[in-house]
Amino acid sequence: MKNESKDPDDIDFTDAELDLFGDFTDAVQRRENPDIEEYLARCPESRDKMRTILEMALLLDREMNRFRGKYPHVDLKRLNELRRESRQK
Amino acid sequence: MSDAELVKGILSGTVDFEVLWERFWERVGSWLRIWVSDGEDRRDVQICVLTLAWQRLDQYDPSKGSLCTWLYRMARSVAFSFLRKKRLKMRSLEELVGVREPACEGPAEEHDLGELKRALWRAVGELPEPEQAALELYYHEGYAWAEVAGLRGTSIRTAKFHGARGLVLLRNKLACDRCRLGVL
Repeated sequence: MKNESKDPDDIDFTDAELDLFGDFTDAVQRRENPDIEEYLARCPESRDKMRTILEMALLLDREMNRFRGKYPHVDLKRLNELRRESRQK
Repeated sequence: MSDAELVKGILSGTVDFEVLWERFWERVGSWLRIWVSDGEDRRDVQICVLTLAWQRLDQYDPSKGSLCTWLYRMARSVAFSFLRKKRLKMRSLEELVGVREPACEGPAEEHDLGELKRALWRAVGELPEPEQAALELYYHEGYAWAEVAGLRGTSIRTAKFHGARGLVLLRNKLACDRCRLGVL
């Protein structure tokens, strides 16, 4: 299967890579503390490429949790809506 | 980054609004304690003030005072409006004795944001729209990839593609900024 989005920067992913990415990020979202090495073993040919992505996924998740912990009453959904409206103007 | 640079960056789209939000969140909260005694109400007003600041940031005129002063006046105005509407009791005058307008600059302000946080928020704000939206929906709002796909009108595969690509671009941007990241 081909990607539905053409990437101008030549960043492309195989189905296996996207499955790996989706499974890993979902596990992070469920607070299962997934082991990066365990997931990378599923795509040994993409180990280096996917390691960067999974590490970034962990970093972003960690920062979001920190932000939520510090500002529990900030409505991020509303904030994002305003940002999107702002970008469209 | 100075307040003037911050405002300019947000208005030009090169700096994410969350930077202003984080810089002034605690300070706005401390101002509001003067007028709003209830913690829950205060947090609601705090969010209102910073959201309003975002919407009206283009109206801020540096020649009329510092950003800190502008926000302080806005906080006061929103707090008073809130109190009028809710008919809440204001703190007694005795409690207000000695309260001064907070200082505008200080080391604590710079301490609030680490280099990593600033770089990360900025980099997310600089991503192309599909990647930015995918990451916002997934990480900020907690949607699953299937829900992101539904909201964006794409397949799940495309939603994941934009998410993964967004993380690659994010990593490249951070690397370009020469930020030292603990996990990279």
